[in-house]
Amino acid sequence: MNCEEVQEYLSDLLDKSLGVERAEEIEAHLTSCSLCREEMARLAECRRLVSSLPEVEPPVGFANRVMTEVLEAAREPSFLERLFLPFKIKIPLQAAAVVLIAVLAAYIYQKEPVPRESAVTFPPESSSEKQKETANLAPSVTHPPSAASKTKEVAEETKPQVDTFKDSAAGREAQPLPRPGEQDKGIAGSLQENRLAKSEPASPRLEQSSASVESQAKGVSEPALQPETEIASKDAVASGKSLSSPEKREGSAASSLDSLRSRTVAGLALPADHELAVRPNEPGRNDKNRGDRLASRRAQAERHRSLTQEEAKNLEQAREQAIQTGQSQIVQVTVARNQYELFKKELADLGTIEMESSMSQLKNDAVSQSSDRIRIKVTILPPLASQTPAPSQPSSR
Amino acid sequence: MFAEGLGDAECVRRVQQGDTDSFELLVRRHQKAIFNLVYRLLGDYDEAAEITQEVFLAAFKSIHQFRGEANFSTWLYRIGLNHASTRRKSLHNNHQRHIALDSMEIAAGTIDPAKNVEHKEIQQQVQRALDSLDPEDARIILLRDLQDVAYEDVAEILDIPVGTVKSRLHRARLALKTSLAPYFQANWKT
Repeated sequence: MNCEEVQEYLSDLLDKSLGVERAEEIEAHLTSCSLCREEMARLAECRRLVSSLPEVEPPVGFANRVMTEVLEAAREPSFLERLFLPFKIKIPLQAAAVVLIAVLAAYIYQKEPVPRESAVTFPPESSSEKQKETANLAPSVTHPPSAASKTKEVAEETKPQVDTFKDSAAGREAQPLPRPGEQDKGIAGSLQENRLAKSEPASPRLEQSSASVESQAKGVSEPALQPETEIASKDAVASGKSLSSPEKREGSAASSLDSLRSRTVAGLALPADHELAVRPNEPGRNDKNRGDRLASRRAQAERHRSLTQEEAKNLEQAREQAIQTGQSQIVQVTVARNQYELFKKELADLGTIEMESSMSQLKNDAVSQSSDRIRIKVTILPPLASQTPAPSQPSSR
Repeated sequence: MFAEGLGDAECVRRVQQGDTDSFELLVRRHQKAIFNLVYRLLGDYDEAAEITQEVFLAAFKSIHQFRGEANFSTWLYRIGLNHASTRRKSLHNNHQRHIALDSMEIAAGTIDPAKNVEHKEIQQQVQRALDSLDPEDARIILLRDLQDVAYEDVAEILDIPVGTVKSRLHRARLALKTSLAPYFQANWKT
């Protein structure tokens, strides 16, 4: 055997775990090999050093401390015992857990997201209410005089354009305001008359509106009104956007009317006694026929005995504006009370009266005080085909 | 293993039936061996006391798993080595090991004070050499050379064949010899 093989057996020789023959063979090698003998001696020294390490006594009271823990462990329930509690504890505990979960589930279920409210505040009456009221009306409606609390509805389908009503006679001055979208500023300016002037008691005065809703709100000098007018315009535009059926038109008209009603109720300079909404019979804007149509309408206006010539002209112009721009136009006229029915008949020549409402008369102006004259707000709706697409209305959730 | 009084097997049987006093007998019978094994493996007296306490507590909690196929001491050694090896690894990583030789009580007689210092230095060298060994090498050397456990019992404790015990023991001793090179250089005369 060589030294490498012998050294593999040195530990066994130390421990006397070799067989007799192997042991003799190794010992014979060791007598002749000093290197293996040295290796054997070092291994033996290592074993001696480890085995001679002193035995260390455990700390005093070690056994007692161990038994203290042992006894404590002996009293503790096992993991399984802890996991499975006695029925008298487990069942009420589980029942309470089930109840708690059920309560939480019901609470969470009830706390569903609230429909997001529109950023725009709507007029007092809801749209559904307005739609109901409108639905009760026939297409060419005759709306009975409503109670004081009722407001008039204007069947506007698109963004109404309301001008500034200037009513110096009423003691309230309409503040002229710039209107970015004003289209008939010249007409409006030329047609500014004092409706309440006592020098013209018999003739209805016409005030044509062709401006934006915001302008009207401003002109009324009612700051609180402006948001409503803006709302009204938005509402009208939005409602006009989706109109495709009489029911929808009435619904949108109701919403538009409501907004205008709120304006009126809020305190326009000259609140109307009656409101009429008429839709021209000829839809579309045909520029070629515009002149002929205008001439014919002017002729018709001249036949309107309940109105002055200028009022009839303004009414016709408003109708044309509505057709061309696709936006509603508001005209206010003053007629004798006994000519109201006649005026309605004459108005039917312009188009279909889609809505009629009346409101309580105000007592603080000269016209209303005279019992034989009434103010009528005429909203000329654009033809259905010429409606201007309304901007998207914030959807309610 | 112990002839005095009840044997380990009988004590274990009684403990399994709920007799905690029999377990105390087992504790007092094996505490020193387990403690020394753990102490030499960790090189720290306080750590050895804590681990040894854990070893006996673990043995009590799992006493019902002991089937009596092997010696109780073998089973106890295995638990001790497992706990000590885990702690040794932690101490080695955190470099927390220290040798509290001052707290040692030398059971083998009175040592000459002059020799005492020399002996302590050598013991420190040996302990440091053991600390530097691979855990497997340290365990097998301590079982065989310190505790004088038979090859078959070492094989059972470590759950390896007897032949593997021999080869590993030789390897461990060679490693220890290498670690004790300073000792041999200073004290060994060829």
